Amino acid sequence: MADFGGFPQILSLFYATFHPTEGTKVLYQVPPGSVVKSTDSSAFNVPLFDFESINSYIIPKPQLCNKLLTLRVNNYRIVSHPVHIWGSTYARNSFLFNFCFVFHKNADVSAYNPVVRKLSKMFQALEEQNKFLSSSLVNEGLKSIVDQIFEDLNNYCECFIPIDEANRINIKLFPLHRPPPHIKAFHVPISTVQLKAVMDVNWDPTMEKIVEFIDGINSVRKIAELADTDYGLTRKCIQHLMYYGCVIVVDIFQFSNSYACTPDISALAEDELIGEECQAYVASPGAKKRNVCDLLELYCSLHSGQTVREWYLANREQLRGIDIRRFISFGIIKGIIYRVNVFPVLEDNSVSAVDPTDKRLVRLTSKTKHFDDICTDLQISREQALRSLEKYGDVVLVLA
Amino acid sequence: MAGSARRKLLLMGRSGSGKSSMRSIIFSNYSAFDTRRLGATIDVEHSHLRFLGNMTLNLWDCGGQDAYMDNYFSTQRDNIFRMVEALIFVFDVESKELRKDIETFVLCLRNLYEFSPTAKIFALVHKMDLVVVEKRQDVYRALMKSLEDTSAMFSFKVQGFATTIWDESLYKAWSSIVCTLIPNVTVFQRHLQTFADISEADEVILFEKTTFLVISHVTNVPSPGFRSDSTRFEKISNIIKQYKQSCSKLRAQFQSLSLRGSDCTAYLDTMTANTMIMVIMSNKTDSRGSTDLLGNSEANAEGDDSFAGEAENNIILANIKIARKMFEKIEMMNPDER
Amino acid sequence: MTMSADEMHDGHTAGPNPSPRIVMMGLRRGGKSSICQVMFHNMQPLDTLYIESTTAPTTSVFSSFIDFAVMELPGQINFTEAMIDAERIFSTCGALIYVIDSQDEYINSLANLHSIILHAVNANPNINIEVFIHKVDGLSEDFRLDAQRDITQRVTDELLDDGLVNVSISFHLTSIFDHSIYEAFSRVVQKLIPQLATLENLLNVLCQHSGIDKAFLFDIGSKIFVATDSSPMDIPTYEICTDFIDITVDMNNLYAVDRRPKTATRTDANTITGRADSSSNGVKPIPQGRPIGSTSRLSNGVILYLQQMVKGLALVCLMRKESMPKIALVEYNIEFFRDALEQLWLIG
Repeated sequence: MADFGGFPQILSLFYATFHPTEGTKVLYQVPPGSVVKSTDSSAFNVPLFDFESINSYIIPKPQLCNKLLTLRVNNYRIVSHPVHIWGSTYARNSFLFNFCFVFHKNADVSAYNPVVRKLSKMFQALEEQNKFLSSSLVNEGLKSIVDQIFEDLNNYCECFIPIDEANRINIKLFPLHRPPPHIKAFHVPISTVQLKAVMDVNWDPTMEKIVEFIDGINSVRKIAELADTDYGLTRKCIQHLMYYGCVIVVDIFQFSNSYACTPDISALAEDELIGEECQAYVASPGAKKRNVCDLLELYCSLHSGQTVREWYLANREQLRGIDIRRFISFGIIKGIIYRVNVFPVLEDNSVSAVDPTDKRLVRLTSKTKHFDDICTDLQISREQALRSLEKYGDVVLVLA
Repeated sequence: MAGSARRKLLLMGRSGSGKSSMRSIIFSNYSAFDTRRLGATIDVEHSHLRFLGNMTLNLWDCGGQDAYMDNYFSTQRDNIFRMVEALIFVFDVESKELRKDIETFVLCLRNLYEFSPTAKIFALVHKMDLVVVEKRQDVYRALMKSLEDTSAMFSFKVQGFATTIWDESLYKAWSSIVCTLIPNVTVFQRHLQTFADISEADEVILFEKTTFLVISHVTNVPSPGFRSDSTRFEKISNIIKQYKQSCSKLRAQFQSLSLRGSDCTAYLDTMTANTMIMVIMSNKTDSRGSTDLLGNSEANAEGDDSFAGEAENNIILANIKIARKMFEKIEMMNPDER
Repeated sequence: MTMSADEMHDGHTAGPNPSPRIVMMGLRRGGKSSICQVMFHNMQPLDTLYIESTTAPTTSVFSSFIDFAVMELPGQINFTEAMIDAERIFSTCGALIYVIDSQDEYINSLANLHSIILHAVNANPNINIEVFIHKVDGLSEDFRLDAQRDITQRVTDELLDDGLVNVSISFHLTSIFDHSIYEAFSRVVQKLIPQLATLENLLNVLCQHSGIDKAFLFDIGSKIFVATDSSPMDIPTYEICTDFIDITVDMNNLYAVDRRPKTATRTDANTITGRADSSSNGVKPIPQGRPIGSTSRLSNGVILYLQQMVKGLALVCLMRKESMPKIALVEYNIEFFRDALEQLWLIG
């Protein structure tokens, strides 16, 4: 699970609108005095920043409205979504308003962006339906809503406020992770949590079916086959699990693969925890744990010109009591080794194949796909693929 | 080749006084009716308008809300008031806080005195259609008196106009304002006079093509009975602007207009890429109007000279064609040449 | 100001120049006076907000080419007693215009209309009923069509219920803020002109022989078009012709020599038609300067051509710019057209 340090605190929340004769003005602010001077007894002595200098960005020109707008002023970051509603019932034919959230300048506000957007759209709808915002200048209801949002989001990270019979504010902050990378058919998911234990009856049926086949050996395509589920749905499920950090994805383990060290190999030497984890993980059932130096030496002996089979044969003695598959998996997961892919490239690119499978094969090579990809796609073995390719001329194998 | 003159114009006044409406009518082809749909101006709206070949108008339409006004006179002072060629201050005749408006006007003058002391000052007393006809003159004079006094304090001379978007007065005001900004307007005047003399025309008017503001006009003969309506120039601007709007409904622009009127013949045609010229000749039943290009005289049947002006038209056309080159050169002239 | 019954027959006033009669009815505040003011007295549409309620029947006699009279019956009148009077009026009417306020609830209006139609058709089976669905400027496009469909349906259904099948009734969407009122009124008037077919023929012949794409015969004062040639008509063309007339007249007036006494108001229709006042009938007009004409070239190759004709009429044509070199021929043809018009009115 990605490291999550908690949501940043909202330092101030204010509602500003455009008055036909006075211009941009802040109607409600919490805490009092944080944005503009306030006569409230508990108000700040000095506002957090100079509102006048940024007022033309709080209620901006129409071209900037109805979009998420983030400002940096002094040490603060203001996230807002100004709204511009056209209507001949309003003075000057339009109504402009903005709900703004103030954070510290270094805060990670990604979780708040959808919240700000949603709030604005909701108030826009309320305004269009029954003029909720513009009907009265002093709106006690709105003031208490602003106060409550501020309190609830800061304290509970969620907020539920009924506004009237038909409308309510329902916000929850979610950490936003980076979107999951694209998963290919030949990727193999390995679970990092006990999926079966976490699962409950409310989970998606496809998910329930595939969970038992996630064993670190089956590729996504294989899982879909074994579980008799649709490949697209299976892939989506795996992506979801990846997003929440429940699985990670590696390549198919084959003895014909090649691996090599990454610069991060030094982590194994330097970090004791990783070392211990490695010892525990790679030991075969019932075998003695090997010491970290041996393991390090074995990792370093992997290089790109050699397949795992060749490497195994060369190091058979040292590899006693070690589960090769786990050895390799651990290295991949921790990023201390990487998979060397083989890309077949036809010397003569313009060759045209006759056979449909061959056609596809040639097309895939011209798109620089590696053997795993090709083989999983066409469901043929590497030798078959190579043999078919060689029919069309010289094949160059690029290792990367 | 000339450098082009950039003229910065400040359009200021209280919120809702009509600044953006004026701007859209004169410079953006809105009809008075259309201006109902305009929204409030947020902060300052900048427009750049090419006016003639050698002049660009940089119009700063400043939103009049209190929050913005405070800004203009404090943090944005030198940005707003520097390098100003002309201040156009709009007074809403219906304003309930006239005292405050005049104070704002004074503040503008003070700042201009500091940053642009050579700026020209114009005051538009706007929305005059809301004042009863009998009271209009008084309302205007009363306001102008206080404005003249305050301007004198800063040694500025203020020029005033009573305007409304519902008639031609708007065109008169803006034509006058823009004319004072044209760098070589006297050259235009001189050449237009020559043109009028040679063509033996009664009146010649030069308009800017897009806005139809009057650049220059020459009246040669105040003939007896000629209805000397002093507001006719702006009325023509107004009429033609409306015609342009009608034509745009057909997705076309008008190129020329020739009028065989009951007492005159008028011809409106393109002069240069930026100007149009209108030539008015009164109908005279003497021999002058009936000499064709070959010098033959045609007898004019009494009261039936419907088509006798044809030769005249052709002569005017020919003259315009010849004069075109000259006027193009004037437009391209260096703004400092006289 | 109503004319006596024996002066009238056949929907026209008696006398050397029979003028068609149009009566305008409708509930109060429907817009009848506004229409009359805007069309015949040159009032600006926005100024009509200040018109007071009409209390008595008012007739505007419009003298130009056909001298027709528009009688406006106030909306507040008590219908039962007025009906007897009204029947007398209907028998002398060519057309009945009923104005419905489309921005208001129109159920009452339709009920009223129905009873009026019954009386009108009784008195004069040949009367043209014209329904103006008015004030449509405030409605959206869909709404307008819905309103028109709804009203048409209801009215025709009710008439069918009463067994009236041969009523000549038409429905028009109108507003004084655009050209629709002029167009609708034009159609009403056209049905009342006996010379319509002849005029159309004349125009067709003119267009064919002069390279003119479209020609209209307009009444300058009211901007009603009396006739047009048979080529298809579209609204933008009509609108630009009316605008062109306005422009020509306005420009001309700026430089016109002031021949009228100083008390004259802005009713400039009179200056152009050449009539000193509207009561003279059949008298040769005082020369008021030469007849007005104007030509305008547009960027899309269209030429607008206007030429004043007799009796306050103007011919407005649209030509292609390729016709310009032969303009002398076109003008020659137009002279013949004008002579034909003169003869038509001398006979009529």
